Order: sequence, then structure tokens, then C-alpha cells
Amino acid sequence: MKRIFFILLIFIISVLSTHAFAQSITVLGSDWNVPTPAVPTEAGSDYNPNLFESIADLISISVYIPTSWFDSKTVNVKWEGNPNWNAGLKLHVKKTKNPSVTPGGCLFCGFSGGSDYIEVLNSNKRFFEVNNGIAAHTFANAEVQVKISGVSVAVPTGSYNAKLVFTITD
Amino acid sequence: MNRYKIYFLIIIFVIGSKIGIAQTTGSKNVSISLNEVMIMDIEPVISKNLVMNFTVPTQAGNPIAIPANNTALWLNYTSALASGSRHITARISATIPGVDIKLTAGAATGIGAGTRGVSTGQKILTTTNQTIISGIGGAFTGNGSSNGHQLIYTLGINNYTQLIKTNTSITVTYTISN
Repeated sequence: MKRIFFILLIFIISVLSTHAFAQSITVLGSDWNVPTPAVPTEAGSDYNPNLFESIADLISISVYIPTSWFDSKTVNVKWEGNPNWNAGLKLHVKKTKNPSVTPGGCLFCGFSGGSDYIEVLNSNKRFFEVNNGIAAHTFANAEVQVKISGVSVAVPTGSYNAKLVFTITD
Repeated sequence: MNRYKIYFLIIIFVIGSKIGIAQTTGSKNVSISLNEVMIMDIEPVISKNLVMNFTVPTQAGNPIAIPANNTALWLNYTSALASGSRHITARISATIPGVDIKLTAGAATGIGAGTRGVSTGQKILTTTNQTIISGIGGAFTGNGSSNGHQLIYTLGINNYTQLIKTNTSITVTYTISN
């Protein structure tokens, strides 16, 4: 009986250890409620400006990569209507500050991509990559800025809400 | 406490401490609201007064010369709405006996975009509103002359027996509405 318990214990620990050491992403920061744009006052004109930017550190992304051997992970982004978005309104994201790495002194850790705005689509698109060295590391607080463009009278009036979804993949 | 209970507690502890790790996605929301707009004007702003004179013939038996069409004015608008469409009507303040005042809104042109309206063709203006442009959705025509719809004024004589010597000012009123 005790042997069965011991085997069961070892099995569960080993399975959950694999699960516990999987990559993970944490998205913090704020939602962005864009102030309602002032409507055009000159007949014949469209919105001016027709794009708006959030603060530079609206969103903070942290990535955990478990013990690995020069592994890299990709942070992807897409938008989802929540519940409604208009495809004429374009969303863009860029990384304004690279994450800090803990524990420090990681010789082979690094990041690539995401320094310029990319347009967010409604399917996953590569945002930036995180390159790990040896051993587990946390890449903490990459700061992200959001831009919305395409604001126009040609877009039907109403209230729109989209969810920016960040996903970590191999 | 026997060893089996200890093992069981360890199992429960490990399970409890590891649930919820390995989150692979996160999100934040972006929201924006767009308000309705419905504005229109006639360009150029400087001068919207038109002078169209009939010319008396110098040869007996010839008809009165009808003035050339006037195409100096342009109609601009900005429209933002949730759904449906808008239209633009025109009417005159008074008719002139024996004379037709005709108006044609040209096709949308210029730097505008969106669902601009469609001309309904030439209308003989009366003191009652008539639609000259229909089907305006969310759109802007562009500002100024050469943008939007060119307004083509044409005069005609519908009854010579009613013609009298006159110098009459007529006001044309345009209205954009749902």
C-alpha cells in the first residue's frame, strides 16, 4: 500500500512539475477608453486628427520561460470584438520598453521585434520574440503602447470595443 | 498521523500549489465612440450669388437668348450615421412667370470618401423641396470647390406669353436630412 502511495506521489509530482514549468505570459496595465473624438465642423471634412495614441506604458507584458536550452518564445497579438469592433478602425501596438530579465546576468537572453508599430489583425500575428539562455528566466514588464487609426465619418457611428489578446507560443 | 496520510497531504499540497500556473494568454480592452454628424455648405464661400441674364436679340424675329449654364458652385457635406441614408433637397423662394430654373447636382467628385450621394438628375425647381442628391451614408466630400457635387444651373423659357421685364432675386435653399 505504501509503495502504491509513493509511486502515485512521484507520478503526480513529475506530471505537475512539467505543467508548472510551462511558459506563461502575464498582461497587466490598463484598458484604453479613447476620448470621444470631436466631430468635424467644416462641411466636407473628415475627422482631423484621425488617429490617437495611448500612453507609452499602457500595457505591461511579462513572460516566463522555464528551464530550457536557448529556447525562444513568441508573443503574438490579435484583436477580438468585445462585443463589436469595426474593421475600418485599425489597431496598432509597439513595445516602448524592453523587459527586464530575472535572474540577471543572462548572457544569451534577448528580445527582437516589436519596436515599431504593427497593425493588429483579428488573427494571431507575431509581436515580439523573447530569447532565453540557460535556466529559467522571467522577462518582466515589457511596456506596450497602442494606437488607433482610421477614425472616419465613413465608419458607422456607435460604440466599439475590442479586446487585444496577447498569446505566448513556441 | 500515519505515513499514508502524510503522503496524501503532500499530494494535495502539490496539486493545490500548481493549479493556475502556465497562463498562455492575456488581454486588455480598447474602446471608442463615434458621434453623428450632418453638415453641409455651398462653396466657394466668397460669392454664392449668381447672375443669369436673358439677352434680348438684336435681330427681329430671333428668340431671347438664354444665358449659359452656371457651374460656379459646389455642394459639400459631412455625414456620419449609424445606418440608413440621408438626402439633400432644394427649393426656390419664388417662381418667375414663364421661366424654368433648373438645377442638376453633378456626380460626387474630389478627395472625399465613404458613401457619397447620387444625383437624382435635373430638377425644375419649385417652392417645394425636391431631392437632388440621395443615398448619402457615412461620407465626406472634401472641402471647397472641385470637391463634392458641382451645381449646374440652367434657365429655360416655358411660356413666352408669360415673360415680363423683371430683375428678380431668387433664393435657393438646400437642406440635408435623414
